Amino acid sequence: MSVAHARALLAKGAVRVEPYAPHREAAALCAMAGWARRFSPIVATDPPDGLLLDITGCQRLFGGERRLVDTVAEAVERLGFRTRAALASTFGCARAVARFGRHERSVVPAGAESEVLAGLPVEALRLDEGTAGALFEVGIERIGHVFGLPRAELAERFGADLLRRLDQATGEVAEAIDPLHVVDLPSVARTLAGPTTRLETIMLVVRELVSELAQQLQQRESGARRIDLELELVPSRCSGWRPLRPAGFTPARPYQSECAAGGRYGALETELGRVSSAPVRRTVLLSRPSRDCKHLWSLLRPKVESAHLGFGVERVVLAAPRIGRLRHEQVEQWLTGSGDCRLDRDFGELLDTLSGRLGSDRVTRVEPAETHIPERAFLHRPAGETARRQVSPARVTGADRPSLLLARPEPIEAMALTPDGPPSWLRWRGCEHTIVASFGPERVGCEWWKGRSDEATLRRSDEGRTRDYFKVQDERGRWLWVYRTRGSPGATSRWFVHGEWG
Amino acid sequence: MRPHPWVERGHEVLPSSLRRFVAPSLSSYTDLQVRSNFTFLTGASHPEELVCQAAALGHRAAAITDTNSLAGIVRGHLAAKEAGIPFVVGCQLALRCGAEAESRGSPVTHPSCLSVLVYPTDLASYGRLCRLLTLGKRRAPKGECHLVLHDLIEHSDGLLGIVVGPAVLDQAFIDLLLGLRRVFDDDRLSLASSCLYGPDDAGRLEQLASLGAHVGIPLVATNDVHYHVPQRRPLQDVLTCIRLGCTLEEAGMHLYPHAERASKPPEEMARLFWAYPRAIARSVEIAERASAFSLDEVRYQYPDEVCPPGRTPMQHLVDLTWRGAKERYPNGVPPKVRAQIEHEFRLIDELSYAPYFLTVHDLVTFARSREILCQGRGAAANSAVCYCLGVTAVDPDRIDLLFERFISRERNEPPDIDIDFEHERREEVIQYIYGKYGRDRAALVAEVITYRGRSAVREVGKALGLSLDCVDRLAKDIDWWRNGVGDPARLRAMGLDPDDPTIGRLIALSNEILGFPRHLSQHVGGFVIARTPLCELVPIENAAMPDRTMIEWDKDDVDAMAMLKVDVLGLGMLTCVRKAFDLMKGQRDKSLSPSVPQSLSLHTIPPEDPAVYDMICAADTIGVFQIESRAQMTMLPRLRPRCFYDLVIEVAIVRPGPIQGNMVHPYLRRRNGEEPVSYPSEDVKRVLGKTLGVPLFQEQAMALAIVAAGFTPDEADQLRRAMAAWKRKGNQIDRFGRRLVSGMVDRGYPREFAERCFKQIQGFSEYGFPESHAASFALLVYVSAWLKRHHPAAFAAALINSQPMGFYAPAQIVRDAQEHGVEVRPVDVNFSGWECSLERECLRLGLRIVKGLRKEDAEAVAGAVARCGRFSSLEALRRASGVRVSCLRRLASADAFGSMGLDRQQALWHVRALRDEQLPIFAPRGPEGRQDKAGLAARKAAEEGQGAPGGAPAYRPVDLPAVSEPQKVIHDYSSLSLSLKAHPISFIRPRLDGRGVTPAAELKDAGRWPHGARVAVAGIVLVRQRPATASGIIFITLEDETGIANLIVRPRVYERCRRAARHGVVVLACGWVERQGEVVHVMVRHIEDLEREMAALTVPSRDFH
Repeated sequence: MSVAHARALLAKGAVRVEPYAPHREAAALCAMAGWARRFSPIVATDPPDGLLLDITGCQRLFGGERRLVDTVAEAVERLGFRTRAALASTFGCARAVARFGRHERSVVPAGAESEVLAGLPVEALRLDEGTAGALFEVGIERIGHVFGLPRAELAERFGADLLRRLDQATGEVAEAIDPLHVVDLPSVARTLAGPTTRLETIMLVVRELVSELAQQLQQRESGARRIDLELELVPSRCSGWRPLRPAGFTPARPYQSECAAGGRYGALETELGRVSSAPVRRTVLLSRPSRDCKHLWSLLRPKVESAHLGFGVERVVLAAPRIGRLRHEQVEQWLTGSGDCRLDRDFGELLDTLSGRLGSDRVTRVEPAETHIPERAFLHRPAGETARRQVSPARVTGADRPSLLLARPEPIEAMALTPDGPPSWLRWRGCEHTIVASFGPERVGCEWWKGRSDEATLRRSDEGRTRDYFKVQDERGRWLWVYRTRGSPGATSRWFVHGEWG
Repeated sequence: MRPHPWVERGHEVLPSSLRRFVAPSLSSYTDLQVRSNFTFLTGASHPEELVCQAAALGHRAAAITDTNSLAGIVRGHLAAKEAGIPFVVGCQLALRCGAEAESRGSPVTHPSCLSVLVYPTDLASYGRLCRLLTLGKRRAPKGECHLVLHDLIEHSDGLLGIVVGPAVLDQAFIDLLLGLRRVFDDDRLSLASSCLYGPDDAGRLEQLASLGAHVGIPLVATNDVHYHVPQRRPLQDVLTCIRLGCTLEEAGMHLYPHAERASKPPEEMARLFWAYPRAIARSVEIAERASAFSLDEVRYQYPDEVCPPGRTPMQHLVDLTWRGAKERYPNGVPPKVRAQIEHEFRLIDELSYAPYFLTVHDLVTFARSREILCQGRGAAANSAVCYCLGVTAVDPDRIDLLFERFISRERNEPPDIDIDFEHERREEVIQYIYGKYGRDRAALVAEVITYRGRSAVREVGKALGLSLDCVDRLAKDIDWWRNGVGDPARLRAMGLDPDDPTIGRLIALSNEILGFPRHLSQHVGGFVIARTPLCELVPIENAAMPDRTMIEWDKDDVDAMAMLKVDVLGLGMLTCVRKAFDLMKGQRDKSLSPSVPQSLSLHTIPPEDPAVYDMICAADTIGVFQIESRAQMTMLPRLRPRCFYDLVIEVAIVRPGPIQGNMVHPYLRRRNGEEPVSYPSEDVKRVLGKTLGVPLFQEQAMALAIVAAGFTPDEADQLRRAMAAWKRKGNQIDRFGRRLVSGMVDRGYPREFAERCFKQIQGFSEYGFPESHAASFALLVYVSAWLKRHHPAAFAAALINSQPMGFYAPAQIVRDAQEHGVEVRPVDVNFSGWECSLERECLRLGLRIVKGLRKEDAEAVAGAVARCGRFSSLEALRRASGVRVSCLRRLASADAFGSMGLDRQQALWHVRALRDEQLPIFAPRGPEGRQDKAGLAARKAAEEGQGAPGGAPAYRPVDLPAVSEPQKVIHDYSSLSLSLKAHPISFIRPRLDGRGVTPAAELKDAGRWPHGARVAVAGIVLVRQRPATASGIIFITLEDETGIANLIVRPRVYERCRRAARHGVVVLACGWVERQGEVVHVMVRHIEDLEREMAALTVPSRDFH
């Protein structure tokens, strides 16, 4: 169904269009799998929207199978998801019952797999679309129908995959799942002996953590592109309890923001009866990967200095959630070789420092933009941002442009001998200039598609603000860039200075 | 030197309306570098606009120089003639330089590309230019032209050249100029120089001047004109964006910085070039030399091989005509027709059109020899000669002839004969033409594809940077084409702000771009054939279809250049009629059906059969040519045609034109005797007598203008043309309209009558039929109706075999046949061929209705059955026919194995077990017998004799789950689009009964369902129509198991129930009955989608969730 079709079907305004981002869905599912490791150490994803847990032995911790299913389902639902859960002796059966069974939560008794499966549709068997379609074609809709047919003929017609899936579901054949492996990102933490508000202590701890982090980075042949610093504070009403966070929860995990940053995390804690202050979080972005302790510390130090420490910090966490590859470097005695590399690194460090001090939007670089209008022919972009990959580099005009362009053209008085000729005399900022030489006119029309204009001005837009530029030299040898606006016929034209050649 | 055109013409011949624009100029100048919008997506003005602007500004001549194309020059030429200034034919050649460009096939806008403007000075050099462009276009893909400098040098005799310098004037360029100067001797070469307000124009001019002086080539002033007025700059920018596929924001330096590429007055050019007056004078000099050649010199000649040696074409034509007349009128030619033929001969001879008639006759003879049905349509039916030659099939005795509608002395345009051929065999005729005349003498006419409402909005919207979604909504929902563009209320309803400047620009620019050519495409079937090589008259290029070539001019240009054009068109109904004839002949030969006449052809069908007219009057016309549409079917019971001429009127009257011109109701009233038929005079009665005083045909409008307003026949023809083009040239029709009315008033007719006539003529001019055309079509109406009445099985089979055509799908055709007592048998591999066939009086459906089945596979299966007899095993069939398993699976889905004792389910089950044999190329080499296991097993199974041809069914049924009846029908529909088992609606009938829904067939009962009664009907939506003439009313046709119900949905209801009314497949409609005589409609109050009920049928067992 196309968007236009959807709009046509629904009332006006009822359609909200968002681009589909499968990688974000996959990431969220992965995060959920990580979260689900609290119930069982072996968790696998079942894309697009399922999780498989091997709970062998875990049920006792939760008070039996029934309780385990309920616990898991309720926990997931508290996160805001609708849940269907099932427990069975085989993954195939559990998955089929969870997705196609009659109830939202069910436990299939051991040995009853075939019986339960018989009533389910064949799609429940994890078949590819072609096989399921082929079964439908001959009227086979339920798994029970398949049980009744000779196995040899089935395999001949629908492939061995059908029988394999069937056997996996009934338990004739064992099935292994590919559990989730957690990749640890560099992260270090230190719990202080007791809450402290002494800045010196905290800075000392952070410095030590930076060097530990740098070591970890070195082992991985990489450098940090982003560093998160977290200072955990003592609860405001100091009860002496330490905040208990769910197992496997480290702040730098990507799913942290997806699952816990909202109100649900707080709700969980209230239930535990404790009040906690939000930890202080500070983030540093780097323009190039780095593991230079000095540099990292110079970036982190102002962040620590400006942090509000409340009633005292009791734990410090430092993590590098974004890293980039950075090869080992040979330590050099003399600072002569590979100057470019060093220069690049130094420049990167300068950029980071400046951005850290002044704010990232204050440090910019200039990029060309394709337009005929001189003052729009370049753009300022944040320096840290990597250059936008362009299909073709912006083309710039081949014409002579002044080395100094005024931010705003300045009106001047001028006198010209002919209606569209160059000025012979002009007064700018109180000084008079007699013009002795000139080039031009170069005509630049307005960008008619910008700004508000009704149909009538669309027609006249060209005459309204078209400029005739002249490069003129005065008697003292100064080259100025001046222009005359071309008004509608009859209207007087005005003169401006727009730049100067140095 | 002989005097130049404007020495005789001068400014005195300028129309007075233009004279005030011509300033008493001190200087004279001509733009020689002018791009029209035929340099697609670059120029932003029509050739006519550029020429008129040049005339208005007082240029000494007007030139059009499109890039690598002469597509716009005929238009420019005609406009220049009208404006009274000399016209310069020219072309800007983009030459690719260097070996690299030649070998790699880089795009035309290669940076090292050299641009040369060329102008022919006489007919021979014009021919060379056309040949040069043909050369470049034939070797390039469609729409491109690959030329190198060497090609130009070879064809440069007699051409004037202007070199457009590159940005950097380097030594290579100087060498090139020196070389070119030697080729273009006799002072034929110039160097272009422009003042376009660049950074340093003065410096550039000085460089060019000193370069010119150095190499000895004079400068000429040009202005690189892209549009005729500066106000077109926004449009030009948008066109650039469309060409580059970007938005205005992204286009950047690809756009020009200002609006200076417009035509400028000579004074302005003189001022800009004040330092180089010679450059201005040079432009006039070049224009003078170039305008020595005029397109009027291009004389087209008819091919001559159609005439036997030693006889003139006219003599031959006279012979053929009288010979044909003897066949057409075995009892002697009626005197009226004889006189008509003599009259036509005089005119044909005078205008020497005889070769044209012979060419057309040759085509028709070829088609007859291959047994391809054909029939001339359109104006040709006005000619008795065409009837005698067998080109048309309508006896001139039956209708009034107005030969001037066909050929006119004053018009100096060749006659235009359109011939319809069977649509499936038209290609044979086309290839015959190519074969007979060769590719250098015959080519298709081009069709200029222009921006229409939707494409205009879409492309302009994209260039302005609107989101694709928004552009789509605008383009789809607004009926830009007919209604006022950009109605604020409708914009607001779509959630757009009409005051938004971007929307304002979109509307303004979309309006401006309407009618702009976008690219050239081939005309559906218009052929130009010449005696001399065509590529010296006009450039020829490759069409998008393989093996097709076409010229650069469209049909108007071809008309203006007086070139022969034959329209070879395809018509589905002719295919259908021929197939029906073939089926009937087959029946007759097997002496199964004695009622079939001995000679079957369009003009030997028994005429004026009352049974046929009875059927037509009852609106029982599904499948009949032209009168099967909803509008026609509601009109039939009111018009009650009883003779051939009634059919002619029927075809002509139910058209948008007559409906808009408000002619239908007066005619109906008069025919039913509700209104007196009166004529203002005897003359008018003669003209309008047969249509009861209402002008219905173009011929009548012309005849009326002649007898009542004193027009000459040729003036009357101009009136017709003005009418046909009145949307484009509104003023002309008014001029003729005033003359018509005043002429009639002068001759004593009441003004009111005159005004009414004019209104009606104006109304149908756009969509009206000429009588001759209606007559040609009416003949097909009669023939198809006769077939339907007397041979319904053959007709239904032929209709399905000619799909896609007409209004109705096979499902409705089959159903209609069943209602007429034809037994329809299902598709079956053992009985069906590719096409539907007849088994005695029964219709056997063909394999062509099976979805996704290829014709070759179907024929392989049918061939195997023909060779080996009936099959009883799938494997045997597979091996005998050699088709792939996927094909058998399609057949199984179509339930085509019934004769093997397999229903759909069982057949699919068994087909699943089959495997394709490996193709020989992959089979293991070595001693025979070493084959893979699967192949061996299959072979063994086959050899064990389970199902040799002719044996008993060998399948033991497999225990598969039962499939419900509705499910089977749904499967039938998804594979065949029809079901012989039951109608889907019948399954939900019990539920519908519960909701008080009436079967469609019961609506006919006037006693139970009187006018105004409340009623509800349900069914499958067959057709949705929204005629432009019905002010937003939607007509929906519903089908249930009993018959058809016609719904009328008014816009208010449509808006309210939009979802069901617009997208519903199975719907329930409530409303009240509207009766008009025998015609019953349901005026809908509410529509509801029955999708759920139908879905419940297909998945009755899905109770989980």
